Amino acid sequence: MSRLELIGINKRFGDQIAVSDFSLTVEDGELVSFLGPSGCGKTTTLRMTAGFESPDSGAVIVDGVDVTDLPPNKRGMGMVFQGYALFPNMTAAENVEFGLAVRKRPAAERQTRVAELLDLFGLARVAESYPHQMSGGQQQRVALARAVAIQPGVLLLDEPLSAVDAKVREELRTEIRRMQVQLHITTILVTHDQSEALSISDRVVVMSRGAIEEVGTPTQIYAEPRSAFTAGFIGAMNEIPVRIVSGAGGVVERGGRRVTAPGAAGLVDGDLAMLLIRPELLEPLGSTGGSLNGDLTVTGRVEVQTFLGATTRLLLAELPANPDDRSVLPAARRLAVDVPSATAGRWPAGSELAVRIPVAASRVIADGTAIQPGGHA
Amino acid sequence: MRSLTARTDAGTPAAARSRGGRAALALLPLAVLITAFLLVPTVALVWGSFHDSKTGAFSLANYSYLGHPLDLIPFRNSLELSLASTLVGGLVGLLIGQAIVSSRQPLIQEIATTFSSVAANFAGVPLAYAFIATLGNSGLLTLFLRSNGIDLYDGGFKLYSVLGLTIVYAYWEIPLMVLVMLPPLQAMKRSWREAAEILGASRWQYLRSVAIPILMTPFISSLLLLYANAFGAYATAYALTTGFVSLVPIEISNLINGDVSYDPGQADALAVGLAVIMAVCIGGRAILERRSTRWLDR
Repeated sequence: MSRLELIGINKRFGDQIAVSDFSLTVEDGELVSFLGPSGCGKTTTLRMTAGFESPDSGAVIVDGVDVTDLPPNKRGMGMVFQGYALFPNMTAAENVEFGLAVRKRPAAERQTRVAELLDLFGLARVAESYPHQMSGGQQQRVALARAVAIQPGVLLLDEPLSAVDAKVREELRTEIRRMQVQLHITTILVTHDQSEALSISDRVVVMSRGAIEEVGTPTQIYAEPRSAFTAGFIGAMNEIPVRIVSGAGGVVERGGRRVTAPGAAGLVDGDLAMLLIRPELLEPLGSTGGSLNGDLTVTGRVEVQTFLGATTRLLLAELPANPDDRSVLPAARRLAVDVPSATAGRWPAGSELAVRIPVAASRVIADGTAIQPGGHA
Repeated sequence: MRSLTARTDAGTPAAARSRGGRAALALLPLAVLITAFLLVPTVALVWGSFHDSKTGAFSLANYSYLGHPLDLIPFRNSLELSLASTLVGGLVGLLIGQAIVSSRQPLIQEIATTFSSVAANFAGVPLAYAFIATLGNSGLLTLFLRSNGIDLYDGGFKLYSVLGLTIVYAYWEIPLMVLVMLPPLQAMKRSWREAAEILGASRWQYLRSVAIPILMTPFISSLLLLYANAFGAYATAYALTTGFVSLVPIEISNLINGDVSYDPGQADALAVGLAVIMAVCIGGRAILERRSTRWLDR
């Protein structure tokens, strides 16, 4: 039996649709992330799961029991809030103990459990500290320990890492995953940080405008996005205009070259489409191009180099290979090309660069399902 | 190198002295104000209280009231009046403040804050006359109630008494409480209640374990402010009772202005006693505020 089921959840705030026909099944011990931009409905869905908001229609099922009409304190869930929501008048140990105390567990059991959790989360040294005396990372750990102290059936994490700095965030997300696996807690994580969602989730639910855009494993979501929104929202993505030559055969054309591309099958002959490809998959060919073997090329001028650590991102302004072609096919926008930082010096700003587009690793989508601004490379 | 030198200069002792000098200059007006209106009067007050006002000789006689129960009546009246008006103002103001915050209506909050700001400062003679016109022997409300069979004054009520003063003082103490409690009430996070709730707490358990302990500090701190405010009030009480109710500020006034009981030395001694009570209230409030600020991000 699945641990949590959300069935046909709908929610409106006035005229605004917050969540639309949201259905999802979460298995026991699974960590599922709700990922999407601000206002996409992910937190509202989480709050309806917790019982802080009531759905207009639909049901929340936990272990086969409909809890839709139960108040939060009867659902047996734990939650970590954005900003932690630690009680400022209690020490770390008292915060962790709170849920056990209100459930009137025996004092000895409470003490043992609190000690275990403080130890598990590395909080023994700050057990008697108040929240204002702790760092953001320590507060976050206390919030986690407090949430799991009651041994919840489902753990809800509402942007738990948004208030800590980048380095601590990386450490803590690993710690969350370690704890979640160790305690085998079914967990829902709400985040707008794609790296957070991809790095620790079993599955990712990509949300847009209150609805599920796509559900899949992190690998599926990143490597084989099924929608333009997902492709644009997850990581950097290049969009290269192509024309459908044969929808039946999945053949597209660009710069006079015709190639068979994934995703092109079934699109309308003669229509414009977008070929999507990640920056790290583009291969520099030097300044003149080279053997293509069924792939496409784009030639451009390097405008900017951005150092990213192991790789450097080159921002390429496309140069029209064939002026006639420009009249029928719009140029690609700026292309992002990731190259090893050790070799980036070969392509300084202003230099010309041709890149191979490995078509087999790309995906073609119909034009008009444009990627949202900000999602592009 | 030039920019490096410039940055290094900024950290030299000379630069630090220059910054310190500018800061001291900026604080000069405040220092003058404190000296002229707090330090000098306080020193003069204390000096006067330990000297005979006729001979100028050092004396403890001005503090003899501390040993005479009858002479302590003004203090007792002031303490009782302040306590009563503080409790009424504090509790009613807290409830109104909570109602305003719970409304979650910015317009209501704005109107309430504006009204409270005006009402909290509407004291003194105009307020006294307003109450006389409303609740005095021939006040509008008194007459209206009398015409409907309810005679306040037959029932023992007197506006020109400690009870009457308590009602009048509550008029500005309630809005003052609303004003000072709104920030801590607004700083209470909804997520605290939700966190308690999802951990299994009932509403009462949340109130008892989280909300009340957090709000207790700013609440007591606000009561101290109200108490000090009531204790030092003079004009309203004098205008309403024409000095017949013996309160510390009124006694001080009588000792300075009175033809019969003129004794500035004793007035100074009473004023020192009043100042000590005020200092305890304000000092206690400052200590509590520091603690409250740590718990509530305001």
